[in-house]
Amino acid sequence: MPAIDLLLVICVAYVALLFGVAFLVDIRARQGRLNWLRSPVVYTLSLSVYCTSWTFYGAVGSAARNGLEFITIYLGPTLVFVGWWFLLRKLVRIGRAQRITSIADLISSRYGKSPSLAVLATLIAVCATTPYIALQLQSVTLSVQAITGAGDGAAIGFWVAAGMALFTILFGTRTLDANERHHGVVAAIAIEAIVKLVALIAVGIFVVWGMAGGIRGIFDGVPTEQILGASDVFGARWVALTFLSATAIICLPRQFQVTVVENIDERHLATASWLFPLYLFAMCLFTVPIALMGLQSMPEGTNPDLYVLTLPLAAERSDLAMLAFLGGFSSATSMVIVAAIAVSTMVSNQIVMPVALNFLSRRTEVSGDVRNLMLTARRVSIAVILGLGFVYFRLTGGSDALAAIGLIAFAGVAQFLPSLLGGIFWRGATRAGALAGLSAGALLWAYCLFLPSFDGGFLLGAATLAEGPWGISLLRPEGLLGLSGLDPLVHALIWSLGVNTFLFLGVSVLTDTDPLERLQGQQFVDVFRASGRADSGVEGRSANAEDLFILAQRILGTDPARELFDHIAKEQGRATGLPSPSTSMIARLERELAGSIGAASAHAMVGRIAGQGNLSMSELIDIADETQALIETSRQLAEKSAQLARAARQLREANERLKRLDAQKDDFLSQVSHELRTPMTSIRSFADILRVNEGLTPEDRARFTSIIHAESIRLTRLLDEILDLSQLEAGRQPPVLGAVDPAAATRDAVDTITGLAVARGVRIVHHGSATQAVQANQDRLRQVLINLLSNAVKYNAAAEPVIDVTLSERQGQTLLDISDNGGGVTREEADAVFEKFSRGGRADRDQGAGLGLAISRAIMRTMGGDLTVEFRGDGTSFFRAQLVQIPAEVTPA
Amino acid sequence: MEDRAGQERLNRRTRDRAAVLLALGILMFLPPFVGILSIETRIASVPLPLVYLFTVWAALIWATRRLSAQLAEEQEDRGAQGETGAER
Repeated sequence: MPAIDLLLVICVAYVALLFGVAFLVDIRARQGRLNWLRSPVVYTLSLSVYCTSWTFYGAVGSAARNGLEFITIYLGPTLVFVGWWFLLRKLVRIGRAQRITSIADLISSRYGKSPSLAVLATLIAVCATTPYIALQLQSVTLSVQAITGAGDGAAIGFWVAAGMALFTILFGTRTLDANERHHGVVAAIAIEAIVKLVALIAVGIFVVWGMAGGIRGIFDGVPTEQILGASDVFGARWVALTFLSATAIICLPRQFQVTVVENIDERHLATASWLFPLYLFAMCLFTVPIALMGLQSMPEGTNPDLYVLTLPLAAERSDLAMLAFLGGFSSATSMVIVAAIAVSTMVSNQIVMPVALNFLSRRTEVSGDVRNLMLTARRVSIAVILGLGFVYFRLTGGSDALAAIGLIAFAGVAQFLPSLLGGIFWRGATRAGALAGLSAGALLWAYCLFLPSFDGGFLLGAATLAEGPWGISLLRPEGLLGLSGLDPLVHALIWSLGVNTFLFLGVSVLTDTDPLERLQGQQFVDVFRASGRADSGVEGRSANAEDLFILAQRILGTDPARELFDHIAKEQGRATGLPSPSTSMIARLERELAGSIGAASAHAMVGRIAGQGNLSMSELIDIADETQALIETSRQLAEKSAQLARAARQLREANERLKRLDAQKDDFLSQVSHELRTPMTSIRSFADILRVNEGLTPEDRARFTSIIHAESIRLTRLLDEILDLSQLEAGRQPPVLGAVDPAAATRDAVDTITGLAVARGVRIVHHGSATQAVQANQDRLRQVLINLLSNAVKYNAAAEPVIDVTLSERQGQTLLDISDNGGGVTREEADAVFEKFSRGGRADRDQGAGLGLAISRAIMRTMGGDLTVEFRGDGTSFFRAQLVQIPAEVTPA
Repeated sequence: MEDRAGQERLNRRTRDRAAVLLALGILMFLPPFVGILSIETRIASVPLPLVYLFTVWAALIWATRRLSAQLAEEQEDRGAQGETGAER
């Protein structure tokens, strides 16, 4: 057997190696050269701090005693990592966004930075960590005893505890990182993770193929029942243990430390989600074979927890035994280091610092060195935590199975679960609910599981355990209110977590939240909605005018904020730069911000930056962004409803237009029938006369026939016009447009009408000129002009009728005005003249169907122009045809 | 926009698969399903329940690895878009 001196030398050398690695990595980290250390594999390996000596030694012991049950401790974490997207991702995001430093910090931050919750959570963490550290002390002590044969467990335990305390203080409190990250420690733990995995697999391979001669040698002859363990192995305890281990991977302070606090990149979780379960898988692969081999080959009374060590020793492979010892030592030290760092961070941040700051701020003349105070507080708390662990180890006599001690710790930290899950998924969770649930759960855990674990050696005597306090059996710690027949662990779990959850939910729905709590609740529950600006790295404590300016920019906008700060700076007598954050300046800013976000929020935000609050800058910016998002949302809502109102109005208008069009259509139809009826009646009556009266003179006959002929022509023309109009209005067969000289077109039309004009004694006078070509169809334009001119000729009742044709050009348009001295139309008639079958007041019955102007306007519009009635200052009217000019450069020469 | 919608549908499917995988894992690892195959049959002399547990475990790890790669891509996407959408 190796001597204890050699063991000591190897341990010290190993620790020195780890320390060297941690030291180098810290130096690299400070230089910003982390490279491979930022790898997801290192992150995953650091998570393996979950596998303590409970796993390394205890799993085999558990498998030997209880069969397959040990595996539940690894199935729970596997399931949590399989579902990483739903819980761990959110935890890590919240941890980064809120710069959470521990699980106690997370819970207190979520519930409005409550100091009482922080203290309570820290106390629970300390209590639950104590048995776990005792477990590590016990396992290292046992392994030292097993290897060296030394006898005094207490002495070994003490020196192990002292050594680990020193080790942890050296490792974990050399520096203070604002984010509580320890790159060096993580690297050392990753190395330890590899050592323990390699050691366990090496022992496993040796046992299976070196000792048993293969897998058959292990399993043959062993009944399946013995491998499975108790007949009801897959019962309530299986469920409880799986649930507990799943809870532990989230709630254990050291797991929270490595998973959330030490996480440097969220994407590492994606790799860890399968690599960590794979690590656990590999750690468990040889557990059953080693346990079976130990049961078969080791003498009765050998501690099954130590099979990993004693099997190689029995086979006289001290090199392998030494490797196994180092593996167990790695498991223990990594757990102790991380757990002690995590818990000491809680103690110093949540208990010592608030008290110290309070004390210092009352005596302002004392300028305490906060940094030194923090480091001292942490060192002292590490020593105290290991001391507590040692006391627990001594009080429980070091006789318990490792797994049983570990489960007590698991059940303790499981009390965090309701407040944690409720806090990140439910806005309605309140501080009072969390306080009530946590304290009741912790008390019940202590009463039903933690204190009984001393077997009557501490606070609760053996008699109390057996018969209940003062002989009241209903209060028996392991059969509370007569709930008996259960496994003590399941019993304690049902009581503590059940009451915890019930009180948490019940009190939460009965109490209200304060504004800061609501704000934090929103930040936690909706962490994925806020934009990811988690790494801005400005410390709330060191906030200054610049931070206030950034905050103001977020809320007021850049320019108003700049104006405001310039203004304040001028008032303070500063020509340039930001104003100094004096009390009046802060009050002023608060008032300005209150206008945008409400007085309470403004006070909270500015107070946190300017005062001693510990909300960080990035969080405040997130709050501001949230507010902005809300404002934006409500603005969009208002816009939407305005759009809806507009759409409704348009629909109403469209409906009315449709009704009007429907009425017009009816009108049109009745007018068309009326117009058709008149010539038809005339044709029919003359045809009747011709048919019935035989004795008509040839002259009469010829006259009647010519009337019928004339009426038919009129009918045809009317139908042509209706057809023409409907085609124009429907936009079918649009006229082919080209460049037309307006002056020539006008002259042409006037020439055509001259015959009629001369016959009626009407004089046509030309005015103005137009040179620019217009966009028109030659024939259609001619049709319009002739229509207008013939109307002017036909309906002119003046004594000396004169028609003025005036050409002019204006803003890309050519205007063609046709006026006469015949009286024109009145303003009331101006729109009506363009309607179908309308005739001006001065037209008499037989002079056309009244479609001419409607057709003319339709033609003008299809050519891009228009036809309107305009009025002069003296009230006389004229027709104006507007034509679109073709720009000079594209005019054909 | 077409691309974004398609991507979003794909992402939702990946997330749904992750949820189903988790549910499946819970189902297979807890009673009563964890107790199936508790019979005196052995594969290469390893008892069947042990084979069952480790096989399911390995399969779960394999499936998680496949899904995580896709989920990680989605995470990347979201990072690029500032993650403003509603998230459940």
